[in-house]
Amino acid sequence: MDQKMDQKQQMQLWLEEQSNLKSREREKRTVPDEPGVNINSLMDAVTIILIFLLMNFSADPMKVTPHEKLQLPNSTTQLIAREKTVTLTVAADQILVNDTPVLTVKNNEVDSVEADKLEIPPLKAHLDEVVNKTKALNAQTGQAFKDVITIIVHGDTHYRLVQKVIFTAGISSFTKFKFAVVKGGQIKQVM
Amino acid sequence: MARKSKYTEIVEDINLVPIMNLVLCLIPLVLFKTQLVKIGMINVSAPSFGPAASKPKEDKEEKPLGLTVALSKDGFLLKATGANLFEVLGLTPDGEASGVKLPKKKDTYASKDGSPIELIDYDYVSLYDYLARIKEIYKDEKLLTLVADPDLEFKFMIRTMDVVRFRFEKPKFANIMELSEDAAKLKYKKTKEEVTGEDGKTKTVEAYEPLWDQVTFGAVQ
Repeated sequence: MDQKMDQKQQMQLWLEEQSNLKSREREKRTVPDEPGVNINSLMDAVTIILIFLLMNFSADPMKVTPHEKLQLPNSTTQLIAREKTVTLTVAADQILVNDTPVLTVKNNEVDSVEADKLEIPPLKAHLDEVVNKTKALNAQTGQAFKDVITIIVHGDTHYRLVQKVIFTAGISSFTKFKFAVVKGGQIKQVM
Repeated sequence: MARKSKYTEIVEDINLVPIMNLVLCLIPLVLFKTQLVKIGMINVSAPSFGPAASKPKEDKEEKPLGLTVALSKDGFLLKATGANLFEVLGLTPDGEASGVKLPKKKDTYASKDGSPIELIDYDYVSLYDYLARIKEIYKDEKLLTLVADPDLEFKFMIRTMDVVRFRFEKPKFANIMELSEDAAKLKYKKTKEEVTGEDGKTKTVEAYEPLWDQVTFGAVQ
């Protein structure tokens, strides 16, 4: 009788142990209802970034991204670009018209031009093409052609090249010149 | 005895995930469009060496001043075709010099990190002083021609334009630090101008008093 009782008790204990194991396994397997990641702080940070970006968001008609080859000179001017014009960029390594590369610049000199001549013929041809296209486009919309050109010059460019570029733009029917600069420079600052 | 409210407050978290998604989409878009560097403009009159330049009127009784500031590696040189600048400025003529020389001067400048550096650079303080004095006599003149050595960097011309464009509140500066601070804080003299708007109405607008605000570039000499 005692032996039978012992066997019964052992069976019960084993069964209990098994059921405990299973329930523990089940507990492990069950995934909590919600992960509960708190995104509030992230939301705050993102909102601040968004507000900062929107404050700095500019609807300027002209966009210049300074880089190593195009470091614009600083100025205290308060004028900003109000209208979209033809842009002529003189970087340290190339000349671009409306962001299209036209010529290569090496040591502040353009290859295809004689040193003592002011006109840069390839640039003149490209500017003429741009002017004709703009005039044709404006004629369709009934607008008058504005002879304003924005010149974006790398600060370390020698005056000789700047003069040639201005001269060439001048003979391509542009009479008003605007120079792009970085606002907020100081005169005492060493560049 | 305070009565207990029948209704129990159920605080539920707002589902921010859709807004979060929207904001995260907006950030790259705005970031792409944002220009962190503020671009300014400087208007320059048609240069005198190009065919687009306006020719001086010959029927004028008075001869235009024709003031020129030439920049070289050594400093500034002030010249005028319509006046003797030595007389105007009360200076003793320098034998062979074709104009008033303003050699480079030692002054305290600020480096990019803000630390002061003793540096020999252009004498912007004296240039402003001389140009302000010339303007006192030639009040109607506005045009200034800037000329530079062929291999001089363009940034120096822009800096010179910053000095000559408007009249400052202070009549004279002791050093470049003072001049620079006033220029950065836009401490210019103000005048009232009458401007006719697009609707034909005349408005009085406060503007900075111009000094030599019509700047043009001259041919390399």
